[in-house]
Amino acid sequence: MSGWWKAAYGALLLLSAPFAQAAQLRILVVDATHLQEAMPLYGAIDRQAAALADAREHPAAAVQLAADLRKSEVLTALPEVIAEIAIAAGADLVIDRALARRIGEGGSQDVTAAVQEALEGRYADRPLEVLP
Amino acid sequence: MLPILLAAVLLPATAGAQPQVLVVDLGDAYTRSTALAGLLADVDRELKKLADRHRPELLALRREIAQLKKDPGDTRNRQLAAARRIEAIDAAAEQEEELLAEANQAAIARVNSEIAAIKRELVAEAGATAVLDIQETLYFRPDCPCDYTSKLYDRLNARLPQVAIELAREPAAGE
Repeated sequence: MSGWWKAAYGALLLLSAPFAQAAQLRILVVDATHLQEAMPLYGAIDRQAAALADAREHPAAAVQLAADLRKSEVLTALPEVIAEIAIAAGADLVIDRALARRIGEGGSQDVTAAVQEALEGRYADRPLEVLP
Repeated sequence: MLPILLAAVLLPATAGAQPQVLVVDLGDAYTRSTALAGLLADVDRELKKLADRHRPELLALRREIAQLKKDPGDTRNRQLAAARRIEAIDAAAEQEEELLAEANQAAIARVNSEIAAIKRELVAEAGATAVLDIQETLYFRPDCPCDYTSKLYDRLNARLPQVAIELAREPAAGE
């Protein structure tokens, strides 16, 4: 192969690289257990509830219910937030980090922090709504 | 020469590329699998047959008991015999339902086994590392090239268009 052809072939290989990767899936991972059970946001909700209970302006049961409802709201919003982040990143799939490791995709980009941040942005400063 | 080289380099890179992870949605299995849809209809039909088979005798026995209660004289033994017959029929019907449930589970297991085999084939053919159920994903792009649901059902319906309920011998009431 002449030098010109080698150069042309090399250039074509470089050109083809993005096409070859086009079919590769963009997989994101999250630590689902952390997002569902251990985010600092849940602790913040508990602290807010404790402060309300200490103030004794509302029945303790109503405060607890408000805290439970808020946590439920967060969990309900979780898939939506994950989807928003995935769409913005042009991802094909988002899976749990542990599953990703099991199937050999452990090196995928982890967006747990981004999801947590989005949920905190939505709920951290929102006061609990205690029903009379 | 250049177009040939271009095709040689670009075509395999695009046409031959496969997703590394496949996803299948088995949530609609009872409508998309002809075998499971047929099985559902068969089970309904068997349950109806079972109820229809025992209903006339049960109705007759209940009428008999009601009549015996009105009759003068000592009819307790006959009432008791009729009540025992009703119990025997109910027990037999229950046993038949259990056999049907077992046959249904066995049929579902055959479909599941075929699904598992097809999943293994799809993974091997695509050179993928895994096939996930959509329930295992937290987000799944609707037009993802990794969606192999239709391929799975196409193959399943071609290979296992129906699955029969293989019922064991039905016990006669009172056995």
